[in-house]
Amino acid sequence: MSIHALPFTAMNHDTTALIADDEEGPREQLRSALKRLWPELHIVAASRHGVDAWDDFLAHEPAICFLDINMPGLSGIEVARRMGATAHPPHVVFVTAYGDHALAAFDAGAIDYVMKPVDDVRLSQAIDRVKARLPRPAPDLQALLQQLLPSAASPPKPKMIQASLGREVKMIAPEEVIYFESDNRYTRVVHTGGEALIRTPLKELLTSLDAELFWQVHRSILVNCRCIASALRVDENSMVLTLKGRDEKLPVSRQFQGLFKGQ
Amino acid sequence: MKQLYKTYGLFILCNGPATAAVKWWGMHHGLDAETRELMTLLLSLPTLFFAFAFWVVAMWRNEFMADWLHDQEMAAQSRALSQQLATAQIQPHFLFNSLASLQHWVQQKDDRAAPLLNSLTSYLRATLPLFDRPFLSIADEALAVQHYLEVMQARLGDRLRFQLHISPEAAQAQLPPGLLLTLVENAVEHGIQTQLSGGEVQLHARLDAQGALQIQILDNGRGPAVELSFSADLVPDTPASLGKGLGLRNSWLRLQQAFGARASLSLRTREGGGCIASVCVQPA
Repeated sequence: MSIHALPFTAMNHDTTALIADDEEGPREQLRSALKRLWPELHIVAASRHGVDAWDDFLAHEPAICFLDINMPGLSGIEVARRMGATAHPPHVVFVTAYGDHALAAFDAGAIDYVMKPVDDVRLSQAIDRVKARLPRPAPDLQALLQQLLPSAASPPKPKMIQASLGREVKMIAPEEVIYFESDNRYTRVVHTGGEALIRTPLKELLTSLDAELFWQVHRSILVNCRCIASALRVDENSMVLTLKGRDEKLPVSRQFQGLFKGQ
Repeated sequence: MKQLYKTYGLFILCNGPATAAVKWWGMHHGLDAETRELMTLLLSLPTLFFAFAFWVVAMWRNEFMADWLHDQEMAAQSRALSQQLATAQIQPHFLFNSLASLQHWVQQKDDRAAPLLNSLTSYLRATLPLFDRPFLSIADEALAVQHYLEVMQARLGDRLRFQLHISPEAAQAQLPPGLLLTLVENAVEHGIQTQLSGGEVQLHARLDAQGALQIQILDNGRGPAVELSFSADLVPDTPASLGKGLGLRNSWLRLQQAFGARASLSLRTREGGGCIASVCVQPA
């Protein structure tokens, strides 16, 4: 066996992918087409909407993401943009239906896409392109994706957080929250006035909060950036945050360590 | 027409030699100069007559062609307009997404394929002739709406629920075609498909005590980005950021063309969350 063959075989077996579409039909169609045309590809997640796609990406870190564009929660474009800001952005292939406004930009830029209903010939071409790109880091699409986001996207209205505490419903203003932490099916809300549990999963919560204020530093942690005192590198892989006036330390996962790079 | 040209050409061709031949024949048979002139004149008269007739026919034909071309142009324009409306209505996005589900379920021999194909076919059948007529009864349009919702329900599964409530009196009321469909599509697209857990679309159509047609399309999504109210003296600028702006504005223009000041259209936040699109047409 030649030395050059090694990395390629290893890559082929280890290549992981995520597919995301909010409709079952197209999602499963893509999954079976991929199984047929790229049997070695390991599909680690088939997400039902943008929020799951983002969460599944953080959980599995797949090398390739096949993203539908119109999905509730987060659009495919938004998910790709978030992924692009992490430490290891995946190779993104958009899956879109004819008539999508983003199509022209895809054609002009370095963005891979396939059209729904997916046909074998086109999907094979997309697969070949991705395979050719895989050995290199994914191209930086941030600027292009930014343009594709609706220009007048109104920032989410800050909603009061309502936490049940026995018979009482506690009203918490988002800016009073220090951090949110995922806790099984609940989300722990640590705020200036104490702690509470809410039933909205963290992954859904993050789409309704101001992303400028609440930074995701871990798959299960959103922190109010104004409450961060410092980021401390522990070793090559781990980093922790200290908070103003509080003792607990919050972990920063490898994916998000790029947020703290100093100036 | 070609026949006429040929006959005329042939006649002109033959006329010259014939006149010459007659002159020659006359000289050799001792006819006097006066008779020869008369015969030449007689022979050229048909030429003049034919030339005149030809001119009249050509003019008439020109007029006729101009009229015919104009009619054709008008027909083409009106076809283009309905084409525009129809393509605006049946969005390729909708069609191809539906086909994606259909294709997969056919390949997998999934039982959902046949009902989806039926609904899609009925939807297309109900929608394509929509724009040939200036008005459509609510009952007829509700059929297209029903099939559209069936297709979307097949695709979205339990994420979409719907109810249509149309009173028998309202069913006979006439509206510009495509109006209800546009509003229901907006509700599904912006109120249901954007929600993680989906929602419900309701269509209510009734006549109130004054005989005014009252239509409401409700969803329980995130509500409209901007509340809008169209009436005869107030046409708000629909912000470009509002995806449904164009469809809504077109709906309003068609309503106003049909009913003038009697019609109104609004988009409001529903109490408890969601959007209410209301159409009202006062009796004449």
